[in-house]
Amino acid sequence: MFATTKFRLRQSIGIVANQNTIEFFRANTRTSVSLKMKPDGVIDFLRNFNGKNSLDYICQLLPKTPPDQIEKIALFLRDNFVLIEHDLDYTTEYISYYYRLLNLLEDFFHRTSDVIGALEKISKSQVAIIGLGAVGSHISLYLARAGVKKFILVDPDKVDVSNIHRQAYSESNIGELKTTCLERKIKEISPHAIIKKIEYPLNKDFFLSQEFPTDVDLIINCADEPSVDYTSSIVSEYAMSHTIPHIVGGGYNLHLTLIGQTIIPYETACYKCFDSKLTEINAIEFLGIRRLDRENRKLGSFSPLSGIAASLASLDAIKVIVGANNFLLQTNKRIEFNSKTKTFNAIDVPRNPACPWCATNRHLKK
Amino acid sequence: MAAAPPFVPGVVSPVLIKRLRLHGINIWKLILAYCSTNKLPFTIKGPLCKKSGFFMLNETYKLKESIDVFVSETESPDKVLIIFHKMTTRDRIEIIAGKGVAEFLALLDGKTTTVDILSKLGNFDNDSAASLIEFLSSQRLIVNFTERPPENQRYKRQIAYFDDLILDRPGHSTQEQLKSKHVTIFGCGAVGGSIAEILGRAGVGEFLLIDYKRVAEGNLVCDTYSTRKDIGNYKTDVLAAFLNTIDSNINISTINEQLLPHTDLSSWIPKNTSLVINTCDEPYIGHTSLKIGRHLHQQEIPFYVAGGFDAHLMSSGELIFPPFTPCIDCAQKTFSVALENWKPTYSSIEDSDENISFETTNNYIAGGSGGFVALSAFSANLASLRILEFISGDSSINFNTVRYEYLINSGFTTEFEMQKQENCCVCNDKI
Ligand SMILES: [Zn+2]
Ligand SMILES: [Zn+2]
Repeated sequence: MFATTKFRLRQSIGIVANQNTIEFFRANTRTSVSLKMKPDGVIDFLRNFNGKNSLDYICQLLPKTPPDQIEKIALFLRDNFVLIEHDLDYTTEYISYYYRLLNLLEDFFHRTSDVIGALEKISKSQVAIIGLGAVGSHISLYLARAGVKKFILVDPDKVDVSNIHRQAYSESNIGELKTTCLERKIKEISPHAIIKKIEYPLNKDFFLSQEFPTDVDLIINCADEPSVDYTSSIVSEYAMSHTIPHIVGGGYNLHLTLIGQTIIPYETACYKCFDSKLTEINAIEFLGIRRLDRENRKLGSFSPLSGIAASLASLDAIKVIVGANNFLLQTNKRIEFNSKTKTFNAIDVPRNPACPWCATNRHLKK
Repeated sequence: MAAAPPFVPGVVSPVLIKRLRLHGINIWKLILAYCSTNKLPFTIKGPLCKKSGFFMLNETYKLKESIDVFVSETESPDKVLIIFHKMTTRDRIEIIAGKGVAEFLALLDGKTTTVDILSKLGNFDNDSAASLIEFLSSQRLIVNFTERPPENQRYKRQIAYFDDLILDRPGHSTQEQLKSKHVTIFGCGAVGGSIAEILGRAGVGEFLLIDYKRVAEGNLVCDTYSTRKDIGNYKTDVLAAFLNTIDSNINISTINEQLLPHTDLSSWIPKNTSLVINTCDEPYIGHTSLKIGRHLHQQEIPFYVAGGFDAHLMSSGELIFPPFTPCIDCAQKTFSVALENWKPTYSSIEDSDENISFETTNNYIAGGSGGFVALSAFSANLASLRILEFISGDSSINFNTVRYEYLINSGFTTEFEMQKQENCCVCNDKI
């Protein structure tokens, strides 16, 4: 550690003085860390970490405390997201447009230079969103608001009057291509956004017939025609072969909202791992049973449920983009939201060691 | 369950059914439970519900969209096991019936009358069909589609949802009910704006929007409605215009004033408002909610205190409607009691020489509260789920007052239940 290092106490940290310990409550993530120390004067002590005073200077201010102890405390608090190492100033643009996001990102990183790096990653990343319905249309706009500027939007459909109650379109958009509408809406938020539009259905020859860029940082599949499983298997297979992180299969699955799985190829359970696990579960549940076919079954849908799926997918998407993979919530888990009980139920789906898609070493695969 | 059979297995006597019905017993449930525990076949015979049966046959029914039907063979060649799987609750209902029943179910499409289905199938007697329909209705597996108005194109998917979930009335009537609702929203920030959008899309007909602030650059990252061109305009006006692009028939009024301790709320909140939502977290949501909540209690207007504010970035908020729920004072007291010995200090870093830059950058607090649109939208969707459940008049609503909190980095949800306090005169008076 250099004596010139500067730390800043994060103002979203609530400090609770107990008898012999100090609890630091991280209000953004609602988690705590405790440190054994005498509570007297601790707030005054921590105020010295204002992002301007160097460690050296603070040691000079506090001649009675051994410098190595000050340094030890500072490092512990930095590693636990209480202090942040202030090694680079935020630009005015970042502060005026993204200060809320900056403060959130400070919960994932230990240095302001890393936070700036994360914002740069967001603005340079290219995200493909396939299927611009109840989940995909909202995700596109959420990511644009978070600073994503390069999009590939995929959907062959035009806006229909029956879409408006749950998708991010307006009355005047009826009859227009969904890709065109969203392009306009994204540019209203982010005028310099670069958007590639593909009006082609996601089917077996999609990736062959379309000029789909390979420098994609994240693919989010929300297409559900003919079914989420069908589209997800195609998207996943492509993404695995190019080692592209992807989020699949989220959305409204009858009245149980399925929260999409986040897949980091060769690191977390892949689509095939999920598929075999679910086949196994279903095989037990529906042994020797056939589903009654019904024509024209039009499932009900409700926007708060697709909205919950869209917001959670977007949160994981941002974490993927900035590389905060440790904090991903939808990896190795199949999560459903139950609207009656307002609870999330998760089934653990670990990587399958015999998975035909991801068990082999990625380098061999390539 | 192993008690003596209440009827002769295999044959259900109409007399017995009548007697049980007089006692208010759900005969079908009873019979089914008996048959399925004892693995007995189940057939329906006799001149059951002849009169109403005739009526039923001329009606149209639809198997609920959220019901999956599974069929499996049984030992008997002409009988199958039919499993109704309710996706909403994951409940399963099983019956053993003739093979024709499965075909009959598949044809309950809400368009063809029962008589027409029967003539299509042949070899299915009217009485059995009538009793089957009665059974399916009693188990809430089908919806009566007779005399439905023409399908509402705009809301058809949502009406299908209501048909499945709200048992009080047909889905299209629930949809009409939403249209007649007036909702008042305090605070048009990220959560308030997003709730307004969700409710507006869902078909709420009228809004009063209250906020004194103007859209700033930093709002775009958290809002769902503001865009670059809106910077500098009143939030209420921008949100109102946005809601009208979604639905030009929504009626909106606005108040661009700050809620202050002496504000006369009776001049702001119309008496006919169906629900007031508070998302005003400045200076502190507890203070604004106490003022609004006490006023609304006098007026007997339901109140929703939204979540999504600082330190509760992904929380649900809660419905306050005494005497069904704790009153606003009790709700807040539950927190202060639970957190009595836990009082975090949030230190501000004094920074006198940089005041100028702080002003130009509006609300920036270094290392302060975080957020972005996915988090505020999450809170708004969770709140809207509860709000729509309430204003759509779902009589099965549960009035437990629970605040759900989703944790950003662990994915766990915490639940905090608010309680009526012992000495509260509001909560202990009316019950
Ligand atoms: Zn795998
Ligand atoms: Zn009370």
